[in-house]
Amino acid sequence: MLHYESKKVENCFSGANVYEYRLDIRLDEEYIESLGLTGEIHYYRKFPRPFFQVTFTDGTQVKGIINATIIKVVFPDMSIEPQQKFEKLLAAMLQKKLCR
Amino acid sequence: MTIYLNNAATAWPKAPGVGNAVGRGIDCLPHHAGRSGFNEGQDVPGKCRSLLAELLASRHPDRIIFCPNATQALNIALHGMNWHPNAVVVTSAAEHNSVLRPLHFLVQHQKITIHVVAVDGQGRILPEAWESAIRKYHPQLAVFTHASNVTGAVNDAVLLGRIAREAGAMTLLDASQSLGILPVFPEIWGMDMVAFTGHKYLLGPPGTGGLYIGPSIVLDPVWVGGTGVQSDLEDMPLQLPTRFEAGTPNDPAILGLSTALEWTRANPVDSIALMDKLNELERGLIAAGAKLIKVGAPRTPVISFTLPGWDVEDVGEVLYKSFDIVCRTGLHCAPRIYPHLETGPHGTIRLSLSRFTVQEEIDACIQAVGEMQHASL
Repeated sequence: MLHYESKKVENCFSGANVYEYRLDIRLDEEYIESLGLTGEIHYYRKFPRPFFQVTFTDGTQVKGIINATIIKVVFPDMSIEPQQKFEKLLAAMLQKKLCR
Repeated sequence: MTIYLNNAATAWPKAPGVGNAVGRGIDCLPHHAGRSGFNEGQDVPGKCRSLLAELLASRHPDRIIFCPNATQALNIALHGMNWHPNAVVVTSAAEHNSVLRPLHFLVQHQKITIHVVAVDGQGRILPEAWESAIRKYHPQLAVFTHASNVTGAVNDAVLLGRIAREAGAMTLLDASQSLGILPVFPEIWGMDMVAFTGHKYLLGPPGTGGLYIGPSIVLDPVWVGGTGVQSDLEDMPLQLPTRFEAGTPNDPAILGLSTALEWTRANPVDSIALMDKLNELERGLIAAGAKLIKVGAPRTPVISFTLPGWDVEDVGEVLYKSFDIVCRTGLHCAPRIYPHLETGPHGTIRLSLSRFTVQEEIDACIQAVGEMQHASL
């Protein structure tokens, strides 16, 4: 079964709710697109290591290197709902990968 | 190849030989410096203290105490003070949390009240505002940074110290961002205490730092315990540095710091070349579209900026992950400076050079920021 690990990461702000997720897969553009169905996606393909950023309508941001296994997710506040929603989406995406 | 531009946080690379010296310190037979008499070759802390005294132009090497970092040095100074009733401390908005948090702690415990003096748009303490606050509040202590870790603006430590001293205040200088690239002469300048770190511009290992305590200053020790000498006494010995150095010293790191000090003494930093590189980076970043906090001389090799169209933290993330450039983003542990700077609430991106920064690294950084700015349009 595909899965992920998550770890809270800190920055300068006490109110920040930021996690890193280490995935079993490399997050290519197809999966970024499936993550970004309900949000806005920016690709920076010309960078030496291309970067992406997805912003969901609830303010959650997903960012990282395209085709890397680690992504950073910035949740809009400390409430649990955006994180639950994101992890549900992530699990569904990983399940889809497993079924392919 | 990673480009390291975070030297204001910790220098990298260290001075040649530092790593080997630390390893040698681990592997060699331990000695007890406090009991070694004239066997100076084995007195690792004593030798390092002498080198530091030379650097600080101090005639009192024993009044330089070792600490693991500048934060602990500042805590020893601030918590060791014999505070008067209704004591006031004057400080500045440019201070690092290593000053602000101990002061806040003392305020919370009703030991002191503080007055924070404003800085200008470069992050430099305004002498007029400083003098006004000193005259108004008659502080027992004035504590200030020699250079802002956010902007690199260097304060006129001689002038600010003199203003404070003439009003009867004791002075504590945070030289974390200056010692190693700027002169710091507490006895010539009349500075009562100077806190410093070994791992930034001194190019020594982490876990080293210290506090210079002037001859007229009496502090209570914060840490008490075994000293290896005068063990029959219940109180800490009175003499310095022993009074403030309870516990086993970090001799391997101190040996590494000695090696760094000897190397930097033999290889003085070329300040002009370093500032040329800084200026070139600054010009390149401006041309690339970055919004800089412009700082006039004197300054340390630090640039703080924001990049229109990008979150501060994302810039650091992309520089590192996409371009292999290490910088620092955010508040830089100096949260009170930002209302005085033209930045947003999320702080700045900080690039900090060292004497080892080369032209190709400057060029690569300018190009990376340019690509990011272009991509955001």
